[in-house]
Amino acid sequence: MIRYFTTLIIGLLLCFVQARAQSNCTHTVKIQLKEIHNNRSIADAMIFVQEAKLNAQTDEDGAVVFENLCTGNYSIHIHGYDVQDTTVSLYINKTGTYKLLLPHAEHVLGQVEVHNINDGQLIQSREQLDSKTLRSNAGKTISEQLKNINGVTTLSNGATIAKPVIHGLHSNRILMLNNGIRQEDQQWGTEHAPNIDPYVANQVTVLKGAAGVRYGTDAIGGVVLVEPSPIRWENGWGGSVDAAMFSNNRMGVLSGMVEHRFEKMPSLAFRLQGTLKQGGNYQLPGGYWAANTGVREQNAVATINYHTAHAGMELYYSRFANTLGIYRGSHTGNQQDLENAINSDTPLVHADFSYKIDRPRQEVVHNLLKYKYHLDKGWGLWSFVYAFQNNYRQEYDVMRVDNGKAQLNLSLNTHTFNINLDHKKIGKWSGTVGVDGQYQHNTFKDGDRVFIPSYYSYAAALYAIERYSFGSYKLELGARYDYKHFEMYNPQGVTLTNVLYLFDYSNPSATVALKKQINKSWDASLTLANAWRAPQASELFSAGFHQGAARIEMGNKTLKPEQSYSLNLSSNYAVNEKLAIEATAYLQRIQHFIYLKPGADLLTIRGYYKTFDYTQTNALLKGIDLAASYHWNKHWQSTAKVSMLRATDLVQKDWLILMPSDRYKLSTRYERDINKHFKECFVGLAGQWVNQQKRIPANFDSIDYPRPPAAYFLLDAEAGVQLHIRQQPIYCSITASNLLNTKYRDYLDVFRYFLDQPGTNIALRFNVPIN
Amino acid sequence: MKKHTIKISFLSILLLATTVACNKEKDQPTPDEQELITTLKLQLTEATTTNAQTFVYKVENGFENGTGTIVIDTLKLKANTTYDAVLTVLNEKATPVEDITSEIIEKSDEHLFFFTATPQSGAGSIGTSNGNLDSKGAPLNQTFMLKTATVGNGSFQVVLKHQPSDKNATSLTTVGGDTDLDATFPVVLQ
Repeated sequence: MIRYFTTLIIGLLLCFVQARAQSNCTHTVKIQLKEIHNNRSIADAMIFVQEAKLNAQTDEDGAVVFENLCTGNYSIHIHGYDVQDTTVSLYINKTGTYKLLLPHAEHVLGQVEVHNINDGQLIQSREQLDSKTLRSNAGKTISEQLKNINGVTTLSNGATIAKPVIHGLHSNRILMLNNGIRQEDQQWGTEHAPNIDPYVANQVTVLKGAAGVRYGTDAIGGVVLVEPSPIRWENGWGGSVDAAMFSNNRMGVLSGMVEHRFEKMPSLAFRLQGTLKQGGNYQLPGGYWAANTGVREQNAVATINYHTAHAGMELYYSRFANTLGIYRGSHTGNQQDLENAINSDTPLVHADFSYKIDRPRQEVVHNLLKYKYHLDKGWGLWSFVYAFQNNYRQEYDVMRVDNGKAQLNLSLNTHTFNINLDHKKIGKWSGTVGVDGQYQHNTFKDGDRVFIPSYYSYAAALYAIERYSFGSYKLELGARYDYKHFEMYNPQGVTLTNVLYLFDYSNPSATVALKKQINKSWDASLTLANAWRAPQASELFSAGFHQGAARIEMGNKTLKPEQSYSLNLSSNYAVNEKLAIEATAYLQRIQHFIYLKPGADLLTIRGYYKTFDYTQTNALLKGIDLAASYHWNKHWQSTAKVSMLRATDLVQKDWLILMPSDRYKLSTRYERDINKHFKECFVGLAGQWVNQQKRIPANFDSIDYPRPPAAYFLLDAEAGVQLHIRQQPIYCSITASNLLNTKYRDYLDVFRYFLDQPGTNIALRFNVPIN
Repeated sequence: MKKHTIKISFLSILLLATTVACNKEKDQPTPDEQELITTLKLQLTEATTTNAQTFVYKVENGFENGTGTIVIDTLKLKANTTYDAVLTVLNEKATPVEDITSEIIEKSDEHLFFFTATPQSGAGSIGTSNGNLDSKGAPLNQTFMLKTATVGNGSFQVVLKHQPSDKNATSLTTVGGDTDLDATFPVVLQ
């Protein structure tokens, strides 16, 4: 966080050019961006005034004008091709021109500016978690944090394992980009949470809806961009210390970061970061403990950054390692055991608090090594990225005889490379062209449990996205061609002999988007996008027990790729200086949507099991995300959010199973500076109502039991302060989730059969930036 | 600068090419079905005699290879008779056949054979008693006494529980733990 503000304090020179005293909410403010070294105007940068929900793009003179601003403090976010991603705090009390001097992006050489080119300008419904929100949620998993975004829910296995669901789609239908690299971490399973440390992130962006043209296959549901802050560009040392403590599972998290730019060699900088986390069994309302639900995590990141005036390179290494306990009672023997668990009001496995993690458990290590080189040719920015990822996933099952070994040792190695050119205007067109390549090998160890086949995959793609501005309109056209080849070795037959299967998929995809700036405070955009996804190894070949759900899932080798066609309409409207509205409506048709269809019961040595076969249908998803915020005065703000989804199976003419229900959120927050030692003091309260999902398939009772859990209401509270002791800021906050200790279960929680959701959890957080 | 770019890009592509071109191991790992159970054998010896009979319950799933093998014997027994019963648990897919009974006895405190007869009493029913105990003195029931009732038909269910929460429970729903084996024999008492 402090990096933001040091950037601001040192890098930004705030010049007040002209002033005229005026009364409240009538200030006309011109913000002008200039390059710090040569005073050149920075055109085409996006400026977003957070409090007023206003955004605009700088003109040829690097200027934008906002009208009718009230007196007060504003957070101004600046994104753009030529500038470093920056947030500036600005006190506005007069009409006038505010000149901001910013470092040119090429001097910063961060990983961010290239994303800005692509993402900052990609016309797509998006929502962001800024560093402030990330700080006030620190210690939670990345998926839990993403829940703060309207339209995003989670698919979870109890309180510790969760993955994001965007507009009803999850797992392989969502892409996560960790520092620009497509995360490849066995994301297909429901109990496979993303292996990303949120402490690395300075900003998390969710692109809602298909974004396949830029980000490649699988981005049917959306894209999550996890971005670290740019490395410090001023000489010397910097860093931060973060600590968080949680009452419910007695979890402690400690994270620290140091970075340095060499005085004698200012083009070279490095950063080191580490996070440690340990939590025990979590507690349910009623005082029960969820047996074996502890968590341990150790993460580390190292970055080296070198740049010259127009080129630079970055070497980035991150390691994520965790051990997750899985509730003992969730691994059931057969349907009868599952029913017993469902029919019991209290957890069937009794436990006390403990940090011990027994079987069943997961141990996962994810390594990422990234090399990036970029070159600014003036007319365009070239970048070359190579990344290697190794994901090693071990699963320890409950055994009759514990031999100390894992029953599953999956190893996924992925090499990716990308060559990308962001070119400045050629005629009236500016845009991006590039090439993507990927090589992947997934394997397991001899003697592992039968799970998915080992496979090799090769993929390559070409893409181009071009933009054209005319008047208040901005048009974006994108096209992509992908090719993917799989070699899968499926162990089959009584002797489990490996049989080779080859699959080839290739597909064009396209996007058309149009954005109109209706006036200074109102914009609207329309996106037509198409994306696709090849079936995964698990969908093609799985053949076996699913212990959590006491069922057998059968793969299908004849599955075709999924094809998605979507229409997305979104608009931001600042009605007046108090009220701002954001709305997104979407309509998505997915051809060959892959899902599990119930089949005949199968007799096993453990009794009859329900079987499910991977099948395809055509699906239609439509929904809206609405958010409105109202500033009662300069301290007090309230926000209302609504998210609704209707998902139907067009072939069966029925609802799709396992889709999030409608939800409503109302929050209010009071914030003010008390004095120079107590700044940004806040208290807030948020209530969320989640409906019972009643839109379920007609045959639901024969597929799943019991019916989706009842509607629930949750109340969260927060309070915090920014302490300034001798120039040293310390951020402290206390938050309480599920304040009323409400007993509830969630439809998208796989543990809804066995356990309630956790009870009240009080968290205490500290963040100390060091400069 | 241009030279620099070319050099770095070239090196990176070379690095990528060498990793991709690595010798691909064609001999893939072979998975294994973990702690597989295929068969329960119930050996009954008429009390005070040496007339032994063995009844088999075997389900070996083939998944992709059709239904596999299913053998379910009917317990054709004399009415109003007492038998000494011994249970054996096997993995017949392994060569040589793996006897899992010894593992169960070794971890006897974590296992329990639980019996349910239908009907519970009267014609065609089966009663059980004198089950052997585990290392901590709680029931294991790997050996027990089986007593048939009057002439009639019914069924006899044998469930092997792993880590039951209540070994003295009287109903399958309250035993807890998870099911390693669930075998139901048809019963004909004559």
